[in-house]
Parts: sequence; structure tokens; C-alpha cells
Amino acid sequence: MIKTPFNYGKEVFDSPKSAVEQFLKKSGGRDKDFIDSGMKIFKNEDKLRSFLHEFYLLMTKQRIRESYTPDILASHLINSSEEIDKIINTFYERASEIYGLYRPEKFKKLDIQKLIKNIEKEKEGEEGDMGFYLDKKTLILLKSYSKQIKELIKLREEIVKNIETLMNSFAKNLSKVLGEMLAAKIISIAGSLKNLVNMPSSTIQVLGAEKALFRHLRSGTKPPKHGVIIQHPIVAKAKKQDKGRFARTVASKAAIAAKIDYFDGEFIGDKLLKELEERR
Amino acid sequence: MKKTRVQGVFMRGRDLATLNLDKGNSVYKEVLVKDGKNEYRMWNPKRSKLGAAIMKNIRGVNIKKGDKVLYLGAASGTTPSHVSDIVGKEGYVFCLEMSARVLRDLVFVAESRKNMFPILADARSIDSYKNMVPECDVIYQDIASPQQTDILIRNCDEFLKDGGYVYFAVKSRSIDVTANPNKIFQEVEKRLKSHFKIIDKKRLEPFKKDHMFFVLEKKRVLNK
Repeated sequence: MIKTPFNYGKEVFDSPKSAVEQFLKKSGGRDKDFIDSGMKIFKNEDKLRSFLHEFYLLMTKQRIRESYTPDILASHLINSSEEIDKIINTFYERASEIYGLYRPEKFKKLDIQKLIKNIEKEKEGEEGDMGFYLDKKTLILLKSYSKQIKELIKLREEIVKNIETLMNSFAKNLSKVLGEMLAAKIISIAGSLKNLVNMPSSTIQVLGAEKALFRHLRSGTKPPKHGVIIQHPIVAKAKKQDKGRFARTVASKAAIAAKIDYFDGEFIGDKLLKELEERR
Repeated sequence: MKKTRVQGVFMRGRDLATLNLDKGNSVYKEVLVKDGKNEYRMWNPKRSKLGAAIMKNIRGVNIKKGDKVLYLGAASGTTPSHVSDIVGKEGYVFCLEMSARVLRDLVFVAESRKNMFPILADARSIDSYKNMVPECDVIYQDIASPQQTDILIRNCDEFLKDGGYVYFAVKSRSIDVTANPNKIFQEVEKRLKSHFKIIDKKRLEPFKKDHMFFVLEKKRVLNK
């Protein structure tokens, strides 16, 4: 909010809004001609224009600031955590391939943590019958690879922590029903919490399966049973023939939870989750 | 630089351009060209539906110097900046946009252009910006929404003067993804006919897929 009064020449306005109201009073309440009525105050087109220009910019900047909601940040963070996952994977694959050139015996499908540990212990030289000679330059390269991967894993953990606290601050019920990460993901696909609230549960059920859904609408193939909601443990663990049914139930509870969160209702996440568990 | 039959729009070879109001700055990384004392901004028809319509020789593009323009769906300011070039220093372009993210980019464009006035509001709720927009000579609408015809008609009733011009870009895919574009355009035209005189319409085919651009004139209300 802009608190300082908005000065222009002799006229002082508390807010951009009051300036327009002043214009309106002087023009006898006819909104359509406020540029003409402004001319009566300023008597000079350039002055009027620069006043109006400043005024619209200020008003718009203020409105842009007011339009911030935590779900924007949440959807950026969840997308970012997924991107980092992908980056870690590609880095890990490349680093392990390079490492395998020099230490083929140790290579045998190392997971990320083991790979990092192994590289850190590594020294210059030759080992085994198949490996190349590991020179100093390549060793430094490999070590910085492992360092980067380590840093990325750390960053990802931090992001996940942030998402959890953020989601619990503005969408308690939804986070309880779906889990923080999935709740954030669903909000990011819907666009915002407000958009999600406006969706029926049948839409929430297939969020993330847009391609299959529109293929169904266009050419009449079978409709998708679930979108990202399949990540929910209840849906994921269900038998194949039950997956569609569970996806529908979870989506309906999520729709209720989102509506409660948006309108600042009480916390009934536990109750909703319990009802879900009972139907398993 | 050659003049075209559209006021304020120039041609260099086969490319469109407008006189740059904000000298030395480009808005969306478009090329700036100097010709004598004047500086021109090249106008990319692939990024601007008005540019595409002019490239397709649409009739009735009639934005004059000093006009008041209400631009609905201004986005980050690609086409509005060219409209602002055309109306010149004496004109007013009220840029309405619903999304705060893209309007943030437009604010920077508007800061250096004294005839652009950004407004963050939803074009469906006229009451929220009724006090911010005067009676206008021209309304330009490019909103990707299923109700875009409705939004246009309501805004024109409220803000457009009699005999004012309307430039209207219809995206059939945002009205109904699955339906045939030709059918949608026919329906839209039917609705428009009751409120406006249709001056010209053009498909924007090589530049944009499944888009139709209408030039309309508001019917004059005859006083007794």
C-alpha cells in the first residue's frame, strides 16, 4: 500500500482513487469525461497527461503488488524442484559414465550417494585391467562434478522444506489430504488456488493428463482415469482395476479441502483423510 | 520508408514499421531503423495480430493521431506499443490486462511512453475500471477467452463512442478447441452483426493459425 499522499502541484490526494473521485466531482459525476474535467483543473494538456500517467503507473504498480499470493511462489518452487531432479539425473548419468572409463570395476551401477563418495576418495593412477590412466586434470573435473551434484541435492532438500512450510501456511487441509508436494503440484497445474477452487472434482481427477483428456474429447478414445493424482499413496497402491475409483474419491476430498483453504475455514484435514482411509 | 494506406504505418520493402515514439528503445527486441531524422520500429506480424491483419491488406484500419484507444488484453505490450506509436504524443492508450505477471513487463514499456496507461483489471468486471477509462474512439480487443464476444459487446456499450471503430481478434481455439473454426467464426459474426457494422474480416492464416480479425464500426444511435 502506498501511504504517502500523492502530490501534484497544489492538489494533494490521499490515494490515486481519491484523485479520480475529485475529478468526478468537478465533472458533475459523468465518468466518461474525466479527461475533460481534468483539463479544468490543470488547464494544460501536458500537465494533465503527466499527472494521469504517473497516477495510472502508481495505481497499477500498487495493484500488481496486491495481487501477490503464496500459491504463485509455491508453484514456482514445485516446478523448480522437478527441474532440479532432472538436472541431478543427467549430471549423475554423465559423471558415472566418465567415472566408468577409469574405474570400470568399481562402476557396476553405483547410486548417486555411492558415486559421490567414491569420486571423493579417488586418487591419480591406474586400477584394474580395463580402466584408463586417471590423470590429474580429469580427477579435478570429476571432483567438481561430484561437488555440483552434492550442492544440487542440498538445494533440492531446501526447496522441499520451503514448500512444506509454505503449503502448510496457506493450504493446510489440501496439504493434509494430498501431501504437501502433490498439493503444490496440483495448484501449479491449475494455475492458482483460486482456479483450483473453481474446478469440479472430476477436473481435479484428470489434472496433468490433459493430453489424454483432449485426445478423448477430439477423437473419442477412452478417457484418462487419473492425472498427477496417481502420485497419492492411496491411488498408487490400489489395484489396477480400482485406480480410477480411488482417483475419483481422492479428487473429491481434495476439492473439498481446497475450498475450505481458500475461504479460510477450519482445519478438518484429519477427518477428510480418515474418511479416505476408511474407503480403501 | 514508404507510407502505406494505413495512417501512421510505414513499409520498408515488404516489412511493416511504425514511427518510434520512444527514441532509441525497442520493446520486444525488434529492429530499429533510421531514415533521415526519424527512427522507425519494425513490426513483426508473427507476434502481433494487428500487424498480421495489415499485412493481409485488411480494410478500415483507421487509428488516427490523438485518438483515445481502449486496449483490452494488452499482455506484455507488443501490439500496444505499436498502437501507441500510431496515436502519437497526443493520443491515449488505456492498456487493460488481467494477469499481473505480463502487466509487469508492460509497466516498464509504459514508463517511457507517456501515452500508455496500464490498468490491472479483469475485462469481464467493467465496474472495477469504469472510473479509469473515458469514452474512447477505438477499442482493440485480443482476449483468449470463450466469452470474448460478450466481453467486447459489453465494453463497447460502456466505453465506445457512436461511430467508433473496433478491432477484434478472435481465436477459435480458445472458444472451443474441438469445433471447426469456420463454424465458430460464423457464429461470432452472427452475434456481431446485431451490434456493429462489419467493415472487413480476414483470416490471419500464414501468420497465425485459426484466427480471424474483424474491423467493426459501432452503429450510430439516431436521435429523434
